[in-house]
Amino acid sequence: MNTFLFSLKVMGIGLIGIFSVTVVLIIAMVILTRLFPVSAEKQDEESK
Amino acid sequence: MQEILGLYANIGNITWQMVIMWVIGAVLIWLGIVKKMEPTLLVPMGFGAILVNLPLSGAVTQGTEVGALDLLFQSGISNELFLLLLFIGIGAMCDFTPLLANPKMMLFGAAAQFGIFFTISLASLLRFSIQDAACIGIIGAADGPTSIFVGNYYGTRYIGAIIVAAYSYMALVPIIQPPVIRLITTKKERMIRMPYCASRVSRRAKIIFPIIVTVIAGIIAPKSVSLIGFLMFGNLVRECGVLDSLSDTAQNVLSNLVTLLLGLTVASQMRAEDFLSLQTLMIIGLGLVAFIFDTVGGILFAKLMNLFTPHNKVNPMIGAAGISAFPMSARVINQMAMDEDPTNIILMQAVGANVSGQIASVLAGGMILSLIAR
Repeated sequence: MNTFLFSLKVMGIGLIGIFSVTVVLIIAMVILTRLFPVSAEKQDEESK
Repeated sequence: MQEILGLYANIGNITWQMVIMWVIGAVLIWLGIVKKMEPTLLVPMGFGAILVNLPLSGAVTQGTEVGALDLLFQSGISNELFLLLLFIGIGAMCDFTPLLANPKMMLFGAAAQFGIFFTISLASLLRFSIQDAACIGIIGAADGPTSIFVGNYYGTRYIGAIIVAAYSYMALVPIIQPPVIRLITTKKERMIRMPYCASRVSRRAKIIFPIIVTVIAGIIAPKSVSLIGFLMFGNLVRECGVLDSLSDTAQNVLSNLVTLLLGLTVASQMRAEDFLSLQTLMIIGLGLVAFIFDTVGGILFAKLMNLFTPHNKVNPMIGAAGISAFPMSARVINQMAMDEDPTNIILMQAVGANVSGQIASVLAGGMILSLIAR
């Protein structure tokens, strides 16, 4: 029974952990695509 | 005459358990060749299962004589070398553009890991130790290398059954997912359209993305850093644009070579005395539960999201694409959407969720390693 209770704890912390990393990654992706838009890259290439 | 008869003396060492393992090996080969289910892995594994279950097989360790497959296991899987090399290849194959174009798809990748944790709890109820339960639950990662990595980390004796289950169910995604999806979604939900804005992603963003993922995942779940790091390194090689030759090698030659050795080597763990047990059957069953509840978790999360965004609903089937079986799951989901409405194409959204499942499954593996002591 102790193992089962521990597994529930693993489920809770594990899922919260995955979602928290996911949210951080989503924020990072949004910032990344805003900082480096396709239009800026095209302008850089044209100026070269 | 005595000497000639002596050549055949080994026949007397054949046991019924060995014969069953030959049949299992033959079935794996048949599934790979005839049914085209993960043939790159099931064919070598099937052959290996026969090879290691021959009486007094020299392919595995007998007494003090070290067998070739055991040697390969020690030098390629025990030290994680094969798996990490394979991750470079997988990373080089992954195109994260649909995910970067629509980052919220990442949430489905996270939700679709629910089956892993549900199965760990279920396995612990069935009296498996928490370490063995973790190795069984990770079958739900739908990611063979991660399953092997976690199984190897905890040194489980069920590694053979876990790998067979993981790869078999990955190949069975087109059979497992549709009935589960139909059971918990309505036709109306399956017909929800999701307009796709083909927003392009810059090369710089694609280059920086794997580095950022490695740093974030490495800081939060340091035990997953070798897994995620090698996966993302492979992706960096693909996206940087100056290592096309290395990218091509990683995607083809390296992946094929490692897969070839991996399949045979894994079979060294399929010896009759370890494999033929009630636990193996339970693991096969629990693996199916893991895949089913991954699908359920992803779909229910999508439905939950729809409650909060009634004007911008997602097709809940996208949630099911959050499992790591890439690109099979995305194809299945798109096909199901088109079956309901031939003009409803949700492939790119499904691919976005599907590649996020690749990252999330590795993160789930890392979380488990962090939370459960060896």
